[in-house]
Amino acid sequence: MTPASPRNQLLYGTLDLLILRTLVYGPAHGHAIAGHIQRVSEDALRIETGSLYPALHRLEARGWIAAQWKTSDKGKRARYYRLTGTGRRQLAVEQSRWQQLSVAVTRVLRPAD
Amino acid sequence: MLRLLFNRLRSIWSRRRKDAELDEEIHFHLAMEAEERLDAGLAPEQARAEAQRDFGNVLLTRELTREAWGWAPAERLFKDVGSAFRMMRRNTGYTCAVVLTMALGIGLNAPMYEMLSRLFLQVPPHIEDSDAVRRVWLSERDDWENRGAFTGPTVARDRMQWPEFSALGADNATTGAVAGYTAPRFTPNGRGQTAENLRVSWVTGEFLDLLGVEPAIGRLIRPEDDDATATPIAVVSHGYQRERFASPQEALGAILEFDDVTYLVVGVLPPGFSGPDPNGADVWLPLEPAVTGRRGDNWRRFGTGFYLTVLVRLPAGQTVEAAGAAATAAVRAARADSPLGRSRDPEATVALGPILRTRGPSSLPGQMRLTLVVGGVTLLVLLIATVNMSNLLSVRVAARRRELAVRYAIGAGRRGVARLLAIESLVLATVSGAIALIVAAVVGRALRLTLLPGHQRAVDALNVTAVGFTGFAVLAVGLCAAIAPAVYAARSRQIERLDSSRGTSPFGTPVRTGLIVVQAALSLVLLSGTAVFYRSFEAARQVDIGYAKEHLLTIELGDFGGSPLDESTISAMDARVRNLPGVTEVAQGTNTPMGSAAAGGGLRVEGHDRPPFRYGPYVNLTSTNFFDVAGLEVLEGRGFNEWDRADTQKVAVVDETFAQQAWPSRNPVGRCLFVGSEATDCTTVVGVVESAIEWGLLATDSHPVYFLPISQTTAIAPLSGFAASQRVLIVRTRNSPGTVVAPVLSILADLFPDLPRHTVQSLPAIFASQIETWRIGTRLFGASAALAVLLAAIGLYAVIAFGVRQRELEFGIRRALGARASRLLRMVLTRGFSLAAAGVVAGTLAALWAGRFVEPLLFDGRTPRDPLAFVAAALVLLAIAVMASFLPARRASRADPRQALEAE
Repeated sequence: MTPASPRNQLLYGTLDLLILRTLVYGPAHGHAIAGHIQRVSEDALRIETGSLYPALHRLEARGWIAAQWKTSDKGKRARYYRLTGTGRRQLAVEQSRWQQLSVAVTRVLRPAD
Repeated sequence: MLRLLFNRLRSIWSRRRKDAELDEEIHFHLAMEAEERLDAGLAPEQARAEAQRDFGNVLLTRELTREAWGWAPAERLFKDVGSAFRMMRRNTGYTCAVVLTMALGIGLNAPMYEMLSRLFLQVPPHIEDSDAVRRVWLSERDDWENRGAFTGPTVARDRMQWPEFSALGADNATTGAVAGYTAPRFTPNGRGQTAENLRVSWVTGEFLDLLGVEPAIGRLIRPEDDDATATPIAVVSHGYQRERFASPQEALGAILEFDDVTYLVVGVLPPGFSGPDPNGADVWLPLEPAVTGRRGDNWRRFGTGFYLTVLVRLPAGQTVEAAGAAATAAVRAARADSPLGRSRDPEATVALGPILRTRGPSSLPGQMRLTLVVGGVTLLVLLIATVNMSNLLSVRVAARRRELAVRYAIGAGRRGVARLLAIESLVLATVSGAIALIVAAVVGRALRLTLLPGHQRAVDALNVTAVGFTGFAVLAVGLCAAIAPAVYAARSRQIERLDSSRGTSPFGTPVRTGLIVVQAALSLVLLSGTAVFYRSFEAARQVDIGYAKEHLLTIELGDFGGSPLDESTISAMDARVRNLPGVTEVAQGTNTPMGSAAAGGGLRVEGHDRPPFRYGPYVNLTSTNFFDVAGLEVLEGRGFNEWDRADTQKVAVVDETFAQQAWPSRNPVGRCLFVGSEATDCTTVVGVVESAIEWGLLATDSHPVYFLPISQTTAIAPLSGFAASQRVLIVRTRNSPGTVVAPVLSILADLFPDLPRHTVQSLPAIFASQIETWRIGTRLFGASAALAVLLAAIGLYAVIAFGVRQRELEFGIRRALGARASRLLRMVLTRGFSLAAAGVVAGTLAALWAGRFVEPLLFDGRTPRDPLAFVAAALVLLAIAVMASFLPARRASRADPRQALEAE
């Protein structure tokens, strides 16, 4: 396994949240999801394929996302993932959990306020 | 949750497709990455290479993704099982040895355990609160010397006469409810040779009620059915209903006919119900109509020979002892009450035992004891099998040391190796278990049929207990087998094991050789048992019973239907049978050789006030050629001849036993018998014939018999009636009597259409059933011993072969140094021989001790400590041991010296 640089080390479980959030905009294949996260985070987050695909398949096995083969805009067959109903609910749960965590971490970091 | 499970299941099924899809997905990703780099201006080659590099480890990604699918453990299991099967295929010899050992060991024991538990442990099903139901045992002493003194040994029987039974029932408050039944007995349903022979029990009206059984359909026998005026009814077993009728409803209303009484079937018993014994009847009849139909109206008195087995249900709070004391008092009072009752022991005592007959106070009958001994024998075989298993395993583990070390060396985890070993053992155990089940089904059936004839309907094929037992045994052995190599594997973690694959122990560890000696010893016990039983069997087979048993056929023309036999039909039968090819001569009598004899009471013997006999005497009314045809030799005087007619001097012939007991030191010829209690005229004894052995096989089993010519008995009222109600044709055949059975039956169907098939019996067949115990004993011991020896041979072979393989280099060096092949051969053979010899010594001691258990089963007090049997057993065992070590020995003698030198 390639040693991860501090930059792209993700908190456990965060990748799931990012994938779910990305799919809110519509179905996308694995490469596009990774690209989107990287772009939106302005290169702060780089998703390792060794984490991405296991995560996608894990989410699929849980029924939060569903996969379908479609032809990509480049004319090739690609596996497109979309959010399911359960996935949408799960996204809400994960999002609020992340917000709580983020608030808590911020408090720890700036106790003076 | 459910969906999760469903998804997982689906992913297992569509595994191949998913694999392909994952590949495609990853390829697409790589293609996109490459395209991006292409767009950035890289050369195609470089773009692909960089995309590949940035992606990282494709294999790892794939592996991790597959684990997300959720079936990685299952896949691993498949792999391990597959590898276990490959291991089994590679080591065919080892696999066969283990599978055979376990399959035979377990397959033999499961049905045996099942049978023993049915006989000795389990209360028969459908009996309510079975602890309160007690079997009534009557202990008494016989009038041994026929002197009015009760000096014989105390005997406990679970049977009593009607007056004793009804005395018990009189006092319900202390003894509780009382009911009686008769053991099932084959009775023809209907008449003639096509009549179906059913096992019928007669029961008192309260019997089924007392047991608390509920009918499967219809109703059961009630107290009001047990009455002379009631319509005779019957209930049938579930097994019989299934065999005979399409549905239970069809059985209701069916008609059965026994002893000329027709019975209406009103109910079917629940499945598995067999009454208080494991061998239940097919048909249960109320006592009153059934006994009256067979025996007439007088059966309720003392001394009629009618006996009932009695059960009581104790009232709540009553102790067994108090109820027993009350029952004792009741029985003694009943005996004191009648003249015939007073001829029995007045000190008789009643004991209330458990419902299972086999757990009562009486000593075990032969067949039961044989079953117990067989149980012990199968336990020995299981022991041998277990010993063999552990031996094979330890050899195997030792042989795999190197393989395990290699596995560790290339990075297998400790858990992974342990898991692989455990799975290997479990797979092996499962395969063996499956074969064991088949063996159990086959062996179980054979065992039941030989040991428990008549039980087969009550004991269905393979049942839950047997399967459970087998399953449990497989699991236990499998886990033990798994633990041994796993423990060893854990210990042999160190790399240096790689190097020490060549052990230095000469021929296995002390444990291993010790196990071999134990195995050999157990085998010797079984082998000597076989020899001892075989000698008994041969001795019994050659007993001279007096009759010319190899050439006799008997035809019993009983008083079927109650009317006297027609003398002219008997003569016609006699003449037609006499003319059959293969028949040399036909005689007539009233007794069936080795079958039945009539008590010749009311006889006075010259010189005695009361009959001077312990048993008997018995009387046989015969035609004049009887002694000739039956093969009884006239020892003194003469037999009967054509001059002994109704109008000539009355004559009698007595047998040797009669003569010795009546006139011990005087010439019996010319003495007087007074036939009939009021008779005053002398019937002269004109001859003495040799005694036949009728009721067993020992000389002490011959009883005093006197013979009268049929031609002279027509004038004597009770005897003429007797001769007219009972006639037996004794047929002498040239060859085996079995060959004339069929033509005799067809003549019988012509002249006596009402008589059932078993009227015709050949003496060899009757005799064979008498020596059945020893025949079964010989066969069972023989089969077990063969099995044990086979297992021991496998074990010995494995240990010796392993030892030789480990020392192959050493043997090579020995040869290089000039040792002769024959010397190496002898060296290994000696090793096998000496292990077996140690087993012979230990086994002989064990067999001497175990002899006490089979002693009562042997013929005529033969000793189980028979030197010849031990010598034969030892020779067989040693020969097998030498044969088992021959192959490895030859291998040792052919060790290649060059290879040895190169290896060092």
